[in-house]
Amino acid sequence: MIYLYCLTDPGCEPPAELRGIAGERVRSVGSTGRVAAWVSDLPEDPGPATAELVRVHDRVVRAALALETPLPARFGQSFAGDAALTRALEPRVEAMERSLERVRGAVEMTVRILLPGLPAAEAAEGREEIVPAAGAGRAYMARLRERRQASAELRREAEFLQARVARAVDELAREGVSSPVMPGAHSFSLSHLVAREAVSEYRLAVDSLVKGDPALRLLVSGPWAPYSFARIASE
Amino acid sequence: MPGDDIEPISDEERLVLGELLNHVLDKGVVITGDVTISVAGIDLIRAGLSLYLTSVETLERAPSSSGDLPVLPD
Repeated sequence: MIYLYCLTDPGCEPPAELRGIAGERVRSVGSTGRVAAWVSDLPEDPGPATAELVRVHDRVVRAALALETPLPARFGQSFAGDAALTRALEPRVEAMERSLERVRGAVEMTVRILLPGLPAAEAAEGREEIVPAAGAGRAYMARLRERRQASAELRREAEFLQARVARAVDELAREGVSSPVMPGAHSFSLSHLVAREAVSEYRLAVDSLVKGDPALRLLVSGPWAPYSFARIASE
Repeated sequence: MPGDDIEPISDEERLVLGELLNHVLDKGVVITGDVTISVAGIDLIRAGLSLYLTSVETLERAPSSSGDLPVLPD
């Protein structure tokens, strides 16, 4: 078995000392073709995912990012061997080339937006049972209405915050995606594909947004490999 | 216990780990759908980290991961 970390241009070779899951050496498959893959042998079932395995995955992807921008693979994918991986990649080579071109020279930056506490909205998502007591129909309906309103308020607030952040950084980003605001969520994130040379400016833009409004609760992370922009068309 | 993973680390590391899991587990190219490493256990870690976020009061400066995620050269 082999484990997949990322896709790269052919010729982007892993550093000789780079080790992946189970301490196995990371190597490049298909480096004579149009798209290559960084993999390592998987001698045995690594068992269930742990934070450490996820860190190892990202560490290898990051080593590629230090050389050029790769297309990171989602965690947890393995193949019977080099030939099986090559067969799986083959029908998608053109889409992968386009995706590599799209992320070239860029990294992913992520802003997590913490939502203001709206306890009523949480309740609206059913964390607390509403049990209609006998004879309390009117109060019951009022509480239901209250919850629906709080939930809508949270969504509006999220949209408003998202627009503010987007205005501040959009000019610095080639592309942006937002994670959906899940019911009951306390935060959501915006990810941007940012040219490497614009990363500092991106951070400054978010910093000044926060300085201008201390009530804004934002967390910036990155640079990441472009996990959020690694879609390939045939998926 | 998977949840034990988050015990010995600092607040900043928790936030960085949360972002790491969000990126590496949910995003990225899917080639086969032939996922062999079960991520079920790690969802417990994620649930813990997500709850932790609710207790974050103010963070003017991001846990920018910049400690271990250096800005890259061109």
